[in-house]
Amino acid sequence: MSASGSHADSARADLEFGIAVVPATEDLDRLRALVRVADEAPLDLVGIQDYAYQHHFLDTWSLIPTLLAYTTRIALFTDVANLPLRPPAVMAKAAASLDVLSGGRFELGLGAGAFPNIAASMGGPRRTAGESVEALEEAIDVIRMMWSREREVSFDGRYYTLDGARPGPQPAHPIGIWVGAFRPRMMRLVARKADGWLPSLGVLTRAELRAGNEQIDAAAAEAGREPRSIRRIINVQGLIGDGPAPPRSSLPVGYLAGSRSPAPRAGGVRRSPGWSPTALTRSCSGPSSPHRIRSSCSQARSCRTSSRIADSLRLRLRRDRCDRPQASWAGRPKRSKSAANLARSTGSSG
Amino acid sequence: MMQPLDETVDHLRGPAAAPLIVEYGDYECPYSRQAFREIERVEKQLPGGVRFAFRHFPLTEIHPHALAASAAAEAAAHQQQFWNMHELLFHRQHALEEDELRTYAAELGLDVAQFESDRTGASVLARVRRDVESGIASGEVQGTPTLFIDGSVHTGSYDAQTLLDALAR
Repeated sequence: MSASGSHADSARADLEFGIAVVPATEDLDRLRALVRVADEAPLDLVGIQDYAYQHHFLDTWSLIPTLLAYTTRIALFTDVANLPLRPPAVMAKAAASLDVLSGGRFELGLGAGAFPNIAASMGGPRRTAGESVEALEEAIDVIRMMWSREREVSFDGRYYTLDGARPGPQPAHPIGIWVGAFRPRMMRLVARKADGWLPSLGVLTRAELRAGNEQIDAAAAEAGREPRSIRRIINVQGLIGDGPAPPRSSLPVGYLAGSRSPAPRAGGVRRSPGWSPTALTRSCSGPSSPHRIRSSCSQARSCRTSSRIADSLRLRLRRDRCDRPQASWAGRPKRSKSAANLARSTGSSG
Repeated sequence: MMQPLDETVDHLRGPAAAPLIVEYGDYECPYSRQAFREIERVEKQLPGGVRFAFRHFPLTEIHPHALAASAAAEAAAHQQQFWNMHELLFHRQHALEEDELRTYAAELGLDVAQFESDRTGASVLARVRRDVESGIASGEVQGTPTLFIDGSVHTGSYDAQTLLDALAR
């Protein structure tokens, strides 16, 4: 489609759009094909979830480098990396290495680990919710130290220690640490220390998303940080495509099927209730920083549709233009109000 | 898809062989005005020139004077003064009341009585509506300015340098 090659960097900086692919072992060809299409579309990001204890998933940190190796422009990120299962200093080194190897195309989504018992099943520490937040905060410090240009770093935390560790290599670009957070205490941590907030619509309602953005804005201002400097990334679950929604049971393992109820149509795009482009625009508008959105694609066609929606959202979220009020997305089904007004003023009914 | 140019209807300027920029704009929209200024810079800077067409997309719900301004530009077009009026309307974006439009017609040396009758006539409004509907039919025009470069919607910013880069591709 015509979008290829038409993205100015300045527009990209406003809004980025990506996909999530599920690291299912049994569906590797499809996974690779999707990432290639996303790279060519062009979309901006591919997120890979990190559930080491899912026995049918590939290890995220092993998969990402292979995907970086045969893509050229798209960025890959952990969505989100499970902290309890990897020492943060080693994670920092892996992240920096991937960034160097890929010419700056790696970002670090990071989480405290949502299921303590499951982490423990693989030898990870069993932490309470409060301990998880403290450990995450220490980990962010450790990671940043390991990316620094210091000759030697030491850190004496309750959960992590460094004793004369040698930082390096330095990342090829300032890697973003995007934290998966849902609770107020984590939000405050994001506002204090992280480069981005990476929640999921579906886990959070839109109202909670708005509230979370406001909490981060307020806490950031309190901590003396510019709220806009904290990236907002949203994981959107749902099916985007041109045809009728296939039954859930027909989708490959792990791919997200959106709602089961019939979805309203807009401009030939079938949308999951709640995650329409209009709703996304609303969620992304407002005083907070630019957003990144990633949606789940199960088909190459969906990737191309995502790219089209990405263009539409980019245009609609721009602050350097005037917009039609309540413009219907894609605009085809209805006459616009401006056209209707014109028709009235000329006495035409056509 | 951008609706194709109709050289007998569209307001076009610049060499026929040059790359084409089409702007959907609104005379009361500050960003449309900015985009037009940037396009003027591109016209001056690009050695082979640019072919430029302007199409009306008055956002009547938010800009009460936009439709009348578009109609005034079209009425001026009836007297072969579209681009001069176009320039003037953007330049005086904050003064688009009916009596002010009349003053601009006089300033450009138009037959003011004819201008007044054309400005409110059906043919001028039909011409504006044609642009609006072409924008809607494209599926791409949701606001102003919306630019098309060689027929493809331009999603990047519209400062002159970005436009020059896009034209070079």
